[in-house]
Amino acid sequence: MGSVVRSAVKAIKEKGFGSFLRELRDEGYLTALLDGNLMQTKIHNIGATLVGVDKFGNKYYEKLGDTQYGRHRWVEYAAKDRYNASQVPPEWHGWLHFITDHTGDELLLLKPTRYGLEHKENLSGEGDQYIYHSKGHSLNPGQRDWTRYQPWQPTKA
Amino acid sequence: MTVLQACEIAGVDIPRFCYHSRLSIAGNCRMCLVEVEKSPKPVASCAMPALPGMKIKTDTPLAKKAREGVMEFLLMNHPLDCPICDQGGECDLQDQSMAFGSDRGRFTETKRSVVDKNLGPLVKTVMTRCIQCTRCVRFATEIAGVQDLGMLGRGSGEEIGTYVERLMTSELSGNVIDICPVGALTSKPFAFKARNWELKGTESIDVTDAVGSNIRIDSRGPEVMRILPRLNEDINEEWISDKTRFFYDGLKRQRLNDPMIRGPDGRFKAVSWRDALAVVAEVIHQVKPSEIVGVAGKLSDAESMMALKDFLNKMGSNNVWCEGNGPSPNADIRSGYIMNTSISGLEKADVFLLVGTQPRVEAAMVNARIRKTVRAAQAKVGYVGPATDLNYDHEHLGTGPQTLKEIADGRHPFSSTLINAKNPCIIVGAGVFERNDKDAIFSVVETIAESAKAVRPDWNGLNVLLLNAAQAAALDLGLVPESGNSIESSKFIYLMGADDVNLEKIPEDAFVVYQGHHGDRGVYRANIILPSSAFSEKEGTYVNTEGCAQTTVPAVPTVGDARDDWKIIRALSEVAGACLPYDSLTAIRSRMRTVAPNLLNTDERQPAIFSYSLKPESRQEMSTVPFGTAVENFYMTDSITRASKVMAQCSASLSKK
Amino acid sequence: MASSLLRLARRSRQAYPSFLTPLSRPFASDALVETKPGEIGMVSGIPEEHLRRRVLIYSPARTASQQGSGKVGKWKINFVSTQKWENPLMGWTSTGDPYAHVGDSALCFDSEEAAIEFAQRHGWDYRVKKRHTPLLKPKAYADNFRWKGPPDTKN
Repeated sequence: MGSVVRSAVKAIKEKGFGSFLRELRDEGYLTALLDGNLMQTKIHNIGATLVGVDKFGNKYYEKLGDTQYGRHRWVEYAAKDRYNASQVPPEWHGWLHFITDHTGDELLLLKPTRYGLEHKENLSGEGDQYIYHSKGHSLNPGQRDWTRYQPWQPTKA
Repeated sequence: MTVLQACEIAGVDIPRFCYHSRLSIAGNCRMCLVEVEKSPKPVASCAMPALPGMKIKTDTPLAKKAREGVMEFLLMNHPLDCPICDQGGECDLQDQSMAFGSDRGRFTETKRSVVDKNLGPLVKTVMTRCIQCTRCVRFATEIAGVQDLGMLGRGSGEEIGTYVERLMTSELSGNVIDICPVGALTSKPFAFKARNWELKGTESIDVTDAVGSNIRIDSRGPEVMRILPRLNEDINEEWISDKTRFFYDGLKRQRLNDPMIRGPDGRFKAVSWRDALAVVAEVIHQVKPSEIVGVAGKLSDAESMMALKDFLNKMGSNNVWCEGNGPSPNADIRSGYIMNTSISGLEKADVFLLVGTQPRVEAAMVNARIRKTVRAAQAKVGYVGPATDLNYDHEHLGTGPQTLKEIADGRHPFSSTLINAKNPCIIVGAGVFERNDKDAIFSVVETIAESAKAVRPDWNGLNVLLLNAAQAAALDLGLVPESGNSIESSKFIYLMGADDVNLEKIPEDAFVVYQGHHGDRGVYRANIILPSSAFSEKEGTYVNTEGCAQTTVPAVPTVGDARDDWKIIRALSEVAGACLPYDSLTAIRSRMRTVAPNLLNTDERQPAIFSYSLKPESRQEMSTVPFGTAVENFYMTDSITRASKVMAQCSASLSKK
Repeated sequence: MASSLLRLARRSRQAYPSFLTPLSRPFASDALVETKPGEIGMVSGIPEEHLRRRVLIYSPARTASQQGSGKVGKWKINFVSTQKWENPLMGWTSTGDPYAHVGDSALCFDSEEAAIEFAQRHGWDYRVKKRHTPLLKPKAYADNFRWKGPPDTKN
């Protein structure tokens, strides 16, 4: 508790009160007032080590020592208001779920350069333009024409 | 009569790889080994003559062991290509190894492999799969007449190939695909496209030339995947020409699928059927009857030609004809335009005289028959026309009608051959129809036939080889125009699939209706386009060059908004107020029966009854212009073949130049 | 039961005996003798429009790419059903014709008469296509060595 107050006072002295408040809001402390999960995460962040950050901005923390087993690794999502578990990219997923001890930066080196795709979160329910449609579906932007013949195109003759 | 044939008659099928009923016997695969009593070793049944009193055992342990052994040997060097081989599912090796082979092999060494040969854009070769049965070698030598393929090397290093880098230019080269029992020779356009169990076979007739070969159209859903030959002993035996086999991809390109009207700016606009027919009906009423002209195309079936003729006659015009019949066809005497010796009857001839026809490019199956006769009976062939290469020995007698006159007068050395022949056969090409002195040429040919006694009650050797699938039916139905140059003075022209009409002769202000299935040449001059169905999509009657009426069967659905030809004309007649009295296929066929009842007796050849003796004397003068070639490019003769990519590749690389 | 009775009533109103056919439309399809759909057809529950099909009866030829004649000699009915189109969603082949695959997969007859009788019982308008059988020409291995005529004297 004391270290929190000390770091807060230091931040106000360095950057000024206005920017301190702005920072608080950006970090998500404002949303945390209405979101219990985020508040728990923020409280748990005190005394935790930041293991890494991925390219989306999700922060990965670890608190070893006296912490309850199963609560010693967690993620704080970049999107403070709309977060869901599928935003964790595959390289951090193993570490986060206690499958491996290799963190995401190490596993990112193993991503195939030729065919490795960018990670997309699960977009179900977001709307028709975000979900998958088969090749002949009318909502697929590259809808394919399945006719097996080529009609004659009148050229200007 | 070999043991294998005797067993076949008795109902027992003996497995074989190298034996084929239409090729000479090789006896090198050894799969047909059977046990014969009192014989020390098993006997190759394909080669052993069946002697009276022989006891042939095909089911004993010895025969079975022989088959298992042969199978084991064949599979030793055969690659494990079944998943990627096109012949999977229709492979003789697969089926016979399941039925007659043992369950395991004992081969643990490395298999040999062979470099692939390039035989052209039609035949794909994977020579590692070859089992050296030499069927393709025998086919090319005996039936196709080209000595392209041969067996090189000995023992396990044997390779089938062309020795020098040559393509198979023969027009029957596609048949080696059927003949090859394994996937060594397969169809290149069909490679990796489909498996044979997905395909539905529809038995139909080919319309690219006048032979009317029986084919089986294999289709998967709405598209044609490949064309295979069907057995018909009278016409095409088991073979089809390359054009017939590979032109099906033209059915998918350049298709007309909507009625279109050419607007005032010269561009085509798709309209509905109602509007298109209304416009045509309107225009046809504004024109004088003598200015209406109808031309039936090469691929038209008899029903549509009947409808066209009826409709235009109802409108008052008698200027309907079919492409290829020339300006003044003679449709009165049937023997004057069909092949009176039937195609199978050509085998009985012993002297041939080919006048102005190159059967190799005009009708490949007729050529195959002539070659069969030449080979079997050493028949002599005399050829009058431009220099061409036929795949059998022939004498090039001359290039023009003078040679005919000499033969008729007896001055030419070939006349004695003709007169001494038992069954002389004279084949006149349909290219002669286009000449001005056609009657004179025919009368000279008839004189020759007279002197050679070619026309007798038991043998009629005076034949005409037609070029298109529609010509014979057109002449049977009486599509004879009133005047030969009615196009120049016409104001309304109805082109029903007619692409070879000389488009320059059409006057500038004439209204042209094009009813067809491909956007070939006719559409560029047309004012209205009415899409119709191609031969694989309709049930139509076609008469081949020997007078046998056959019907196609629809295999795939019509494309877009297209309709059957005769149905379009029937609808047009109703809109135009001159309603035709038939509205179903049975009805239009009963109408055809009143005009030409032979068109309804399908699959049976109707010989012509009266010979040329009924014809009046012709007083025409023969011109000295030498005979020309009717078919310039074998691979691109009608609208479907011109639209096909495979045919374009063939004519670029395989044309006989 | 009721529907087949209704069909019977409708049919008796439509069919007229052949000698009363109107002469003004001599080539119309109902000028020919009306084929009475057979007993099976009316009772089988097959929709009426499918009792008036045109079918082809044929004996499938041997597949050219193989030499085996195991399937030769059967007779099949080809319900000319080409009404197929590509389904716009997946590209698969859709059809609205219940008889699309029946001829190929289900019906197989041992003789031409059996197939004709079947078609007649259902009341279909059938046409029979001729069956082609191969000609057996006696061959001999000695033909390979036979004298093939005088040598070519030309060149």
